[in-house]
Amino acid sequence: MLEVKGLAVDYYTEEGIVHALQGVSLEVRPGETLSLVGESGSGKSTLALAVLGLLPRRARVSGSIIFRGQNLLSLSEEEMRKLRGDRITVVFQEPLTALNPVFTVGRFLKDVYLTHKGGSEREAEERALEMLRKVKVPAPEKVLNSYPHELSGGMRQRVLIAASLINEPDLVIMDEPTSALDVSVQAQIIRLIYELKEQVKASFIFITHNLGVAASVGDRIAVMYAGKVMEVASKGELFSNPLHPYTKGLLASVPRVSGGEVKPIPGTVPDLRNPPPGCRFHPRCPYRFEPCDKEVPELKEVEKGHWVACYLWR
Amino acid sequence: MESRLVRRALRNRNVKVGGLIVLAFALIGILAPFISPYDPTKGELRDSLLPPSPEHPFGTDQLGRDILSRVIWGARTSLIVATASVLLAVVAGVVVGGLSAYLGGWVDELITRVIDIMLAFPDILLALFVAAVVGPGLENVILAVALYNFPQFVRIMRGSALQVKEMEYVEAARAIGESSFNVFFRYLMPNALAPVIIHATLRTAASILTAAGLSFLGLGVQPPTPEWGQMMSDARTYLVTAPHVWVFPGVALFVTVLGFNLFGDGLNDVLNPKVEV
Repeated sequence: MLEVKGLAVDYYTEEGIVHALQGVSLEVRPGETLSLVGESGSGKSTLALAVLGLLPRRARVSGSIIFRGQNLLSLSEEEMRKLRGDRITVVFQEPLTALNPVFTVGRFLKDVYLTHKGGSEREAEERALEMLRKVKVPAPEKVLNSYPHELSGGMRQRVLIAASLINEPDLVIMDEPTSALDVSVQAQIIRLIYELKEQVKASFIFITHNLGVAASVGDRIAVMYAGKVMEVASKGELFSNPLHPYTKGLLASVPRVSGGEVKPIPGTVPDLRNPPPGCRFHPRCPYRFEPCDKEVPELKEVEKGHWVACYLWR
Repeated sequence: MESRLVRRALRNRNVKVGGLIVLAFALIGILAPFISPYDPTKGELRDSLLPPSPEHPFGTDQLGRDILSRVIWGARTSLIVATASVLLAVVAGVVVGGLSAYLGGWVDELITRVIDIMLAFPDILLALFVAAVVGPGLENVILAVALYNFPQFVRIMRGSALQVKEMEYVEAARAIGESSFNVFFRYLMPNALAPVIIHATLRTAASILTAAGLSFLGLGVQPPTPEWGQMMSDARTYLVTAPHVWVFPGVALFVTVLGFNLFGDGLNDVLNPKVEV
């Protein structure tokens, strides 16, 4: 479905070159949901934008992103435009600002459909209504004629999810779709996403900084840190048998209702303009040894389906 | 939402007073052929420079033409010049300023520098220069005044569009596969227009003044077309002996400009949420 190989993204800014992604390799299988977990600045959103071909002009990209047999990085802008919103869709973090205030919800949904599928206004309207029902919007006929400011945040996120599925895409990227919402609404949206992904054929990339959310939605989880993928495993495996020191630290820093000490990872996220040599996690790693500050560990499959980029597991 | 805005606007005193004046001005301009008592271009020389009387409420000018009729027809001239020139400047300014912000890079750099240069000229000088080059006449005045308004609209639109460009719905528009053309005209432009519209009402006042100024200097609308600036210019010789010849067009100009300014200021208060809070 989607195969990212050796992807590197550098942002050229006035303050220097930011190495946002380095040698990222990932695979998303048909019909599965891959959760992408990491702190702010770990490169999750950069990865999403790279797949969509929406990186800012100051970004330099290398590596390859193979989607249904073609390398997205070698496609023209026009070819990418045709894929976006049709085969590959995205739901952004901020439902409050992601809708154009001058269009009704119906106009927006119809446009997403008509841009790619063509057809008549009536077909588009029927499809839009069908999608609003699917995302469980109450009174869909009324919402269709509403402007974004008349809807709540949770409702707008439902509309955006409807838009991301209206053209029956192959890949849906959800970039922190619940982070900007109230906790109770968050739970509703996560439940909705969970139900929808069982109904549709698409694969999902679910980006979040919340391990709990990642586990409840994802089939597999990829842990990112400072622009690198540190560990990939099925969610059961990752929680019961975390291998990478960063993953372990991440799990230990989540507060639990059952009590127990919360142990934050010492140190801070490195400045990506000047990342540490070798493994990017080594300055904060309690297990670091000989090769860690010299060579970059590659992602290796140490158990079946369990990949780690760490010299402890060789 | 819209009706609430309208109601809030109507509660604003500046909008109400200014709006009434603007409305009156527009009606007088549109209805000039029906409400003016005399032909504004024909006069009896024996009736020259008559003071106000029941027959000629505003008196007559040096050629014996009825000043009331000329003031009424002058409103029509000002209305045409002001709306046409502001409209022209808004359309051009919105497209150029919007593209400048949207495309960025060297295009933006180039446009910004050119606009900086245009803004460095005192307003009236720019209009004077154009009027002097293309010659007098109604169309040329419109062109000159439009050019004088243009750089300001470019700059306002660019600033506003730069802000809107960073909104997530613009990126979302690209993420759903909208073409650049649609992103620009359907997402960026309509959302960036509000400050341009407010400025347009304020520039209408300035444009009426500038057009009158050009005519006063003889570079604007040519006789016999009635125009306030030109009427005042003609009256200079009779400044003391027959003040009614310049007082009435002067007051008309003053009130009209005041009306547009009040209206624009009021709109600004109503539409600009930052001031409201």
